[in-house]
Amino acid sequence: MQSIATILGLLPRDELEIREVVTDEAQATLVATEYRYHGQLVRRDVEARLKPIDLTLEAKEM
Amino acid sequence: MANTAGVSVQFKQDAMAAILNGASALKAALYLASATTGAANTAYTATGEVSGANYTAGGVAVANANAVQITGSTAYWTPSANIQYPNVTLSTSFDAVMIYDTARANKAIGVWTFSPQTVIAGTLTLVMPANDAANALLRS
Repeated sequence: MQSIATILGLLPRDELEIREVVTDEAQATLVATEYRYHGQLVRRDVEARLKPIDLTLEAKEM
Repeated sequence: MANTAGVSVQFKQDAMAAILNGASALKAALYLASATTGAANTAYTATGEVSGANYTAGGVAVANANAVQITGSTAYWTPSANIQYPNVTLSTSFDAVMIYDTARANKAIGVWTFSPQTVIAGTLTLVMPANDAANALLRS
């Protein structure tokens, strides 16, 4: 049985409620994976897919 | 066909490559949502930086095996691997990462933001976009 490291130590994956929260924003797409044990949040991972920022180098008209 | 004004893409590439070359030693630090870190910051600062279990002040190293490239009139660059903070607990909301160069007195490269997040006994992964003219992390 697979175990997950949490603030309460290793817990069986089967006993955890796992929820993914996906947020798409202008500057990043975020995926937060929340693990709850009897309603208590015991682990939260975040994956942030960063989007570009642009350097602006422009030639001014003469 | 008319002429067009513009900064040469060669200049853009050279300007970016002057900083993001093999001599750079980049790191990525995280900042609290309550901080004011941004484009006006010239260098890494500990002010407003996150703290928590398994997070080291100054952040983590950033892989920089990608050369600055050109497609059309765009010069671009992306770190060569995702940035990870494994097994951390960052219980106060953070919403920004600064990439900076320890080989140049910690001078800042840029700050990227996202909605406020926390991490509990978990891993924060900053997934790098495709390194192309449309998606690269830094474009000019």
